[in-house]
Amino acid sequence: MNRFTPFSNAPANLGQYPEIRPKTSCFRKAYIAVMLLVVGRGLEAAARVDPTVRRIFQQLPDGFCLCLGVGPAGPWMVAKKDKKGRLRYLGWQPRAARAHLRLTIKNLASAMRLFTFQESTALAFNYDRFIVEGSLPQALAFMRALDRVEVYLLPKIIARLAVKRYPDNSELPGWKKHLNRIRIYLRAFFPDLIRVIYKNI
Amino acid sequence: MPQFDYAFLSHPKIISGACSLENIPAELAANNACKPLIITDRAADAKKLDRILIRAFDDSDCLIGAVFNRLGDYAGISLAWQAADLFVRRGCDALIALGSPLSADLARAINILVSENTPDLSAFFTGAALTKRLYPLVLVPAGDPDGTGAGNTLTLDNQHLYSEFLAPDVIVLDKRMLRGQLPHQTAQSAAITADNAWSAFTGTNPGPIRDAFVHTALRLLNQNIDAALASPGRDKPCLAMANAGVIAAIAAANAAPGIVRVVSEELARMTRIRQGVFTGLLAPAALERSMEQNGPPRPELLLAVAGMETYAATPEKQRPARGADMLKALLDKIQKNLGQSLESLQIPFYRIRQACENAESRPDAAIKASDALDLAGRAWKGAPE
Repeated sequence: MNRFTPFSNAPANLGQYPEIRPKTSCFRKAYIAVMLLVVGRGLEAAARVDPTVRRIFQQLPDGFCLCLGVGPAGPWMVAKKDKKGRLRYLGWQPRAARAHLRLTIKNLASAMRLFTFQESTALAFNYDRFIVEGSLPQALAFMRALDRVEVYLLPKIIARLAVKRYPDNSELPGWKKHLNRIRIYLRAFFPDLIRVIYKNI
Repeated sequence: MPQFDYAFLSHPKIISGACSLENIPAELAANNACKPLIITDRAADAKKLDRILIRAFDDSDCLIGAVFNRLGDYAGISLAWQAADLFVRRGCDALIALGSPLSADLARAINILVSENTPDLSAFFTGAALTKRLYPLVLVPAGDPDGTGAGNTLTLDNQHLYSEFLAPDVIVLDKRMLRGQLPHQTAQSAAITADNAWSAFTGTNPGPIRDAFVHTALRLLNQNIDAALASPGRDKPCLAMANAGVIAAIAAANAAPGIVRVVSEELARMTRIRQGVFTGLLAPAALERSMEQNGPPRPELLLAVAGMETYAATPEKQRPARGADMLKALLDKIQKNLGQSLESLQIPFYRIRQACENAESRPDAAIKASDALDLAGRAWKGAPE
């Protein structure tokens, strides 16, 4: 382009200053996508198994749809409360439903810090890593549910890093935690996972 | 009834901490921009800091217009024209200043050139107002964490332009950009930070918000200077010092320029020695002079420098003097790390006198040459051993 500009008395050599297109890290995207899939399925299972998570989602309106993902181009996780009041994981297409609550992690590097458990969700909120579109109380309720799911899905040594406060024995007895963990893993991965993947592909 | 008669403007959003560079694309998107031009200096280029910045754009939908890396030790209008030409031809819509305060100055000059669509800046230096909205400017300080670029001043070809609109929109402080400082460079940055905070604290029309900024800057500086000087490679104290620098610079931008800053700038311009050296040498003398002429400062200085516990434990009448003593100790510590006195720089005194006269003639500061000379005379021998 040889456009005249008011500053053309000192023209810049365009060849010396190339345009730079940022790269895309497929590995990081794939890792976050898998983590969101696990979290989504875990949320759906925990909403049936754990009374605390169930109570959190019961307080949300019917048909409530939430979307958690990484800006600007994903990956995403979409979940919706169905007519029977159960939370259903809809997959990774953000257009699957109109989201009432959209939580966007600002960039992939922040998402990696969150999903490699270098930062807890509360700390990530504190560091302004999320963009919340929707009701803030609902977003915080969802974060509480997410913390609870992480307690079930992760070993204690990792979950302590990932959540704001790890529940003690009086709040969540060890036997109950392990029993629920098995039930959540079974529900998350076996009955419906193929159906969800098939629908999204 | 308390009087709330003050003005304060802190335009920039400060992003600091882990992964803060990666937030730039989101901040640009929030400012309706997606194609930035990166302005950097040769020092940052040599340390390959521009590559770190470019890598931070990975997985974003921003396209980087170009990296303009021809800035050396001097920011002039011809460089600004070249970069502005590049900005327009590439269709950029934002500017990122990476590196020293000179990068920020050049980015501001480019911003005015392309926003006002004029090749001539002289009208603005002589008092004309900016008429167009400027493009978003992101500042990424690298190297010296003195926060000088965070203010609202443009210095180009030794001319100064002040405008509230020249403050950057976003300031990004990242530990990856602040590594590798030598102790004397850290001391110079600390001197500029302390002087900015002091001039904001003692400036006319004080206000609670400005005081809050000064408190934060002095607290961060006092808590982290020892660690930053002892081990310059440590990320946490360097980042805290950079935060203190930026906060103090914003506070100072809301006050009239202090005598130390103006004289240091003039001396640095004349001698090509770094401004931080002069600031570190002049600041203790300025504090001493202020104590003699105006008496002890407000007691809040002790709260800022020493913290709540020391402040509460000190009797009310002793607080102003104790605050001044603690600030003096901090400035002396900085000066000792600079390891020089004004005399040891071997500058002929007539040049110092000339710098003081130039400081008097500056329109932005009401400073008498006799006061500036008195200050330089006090700083001549340096700190007593």
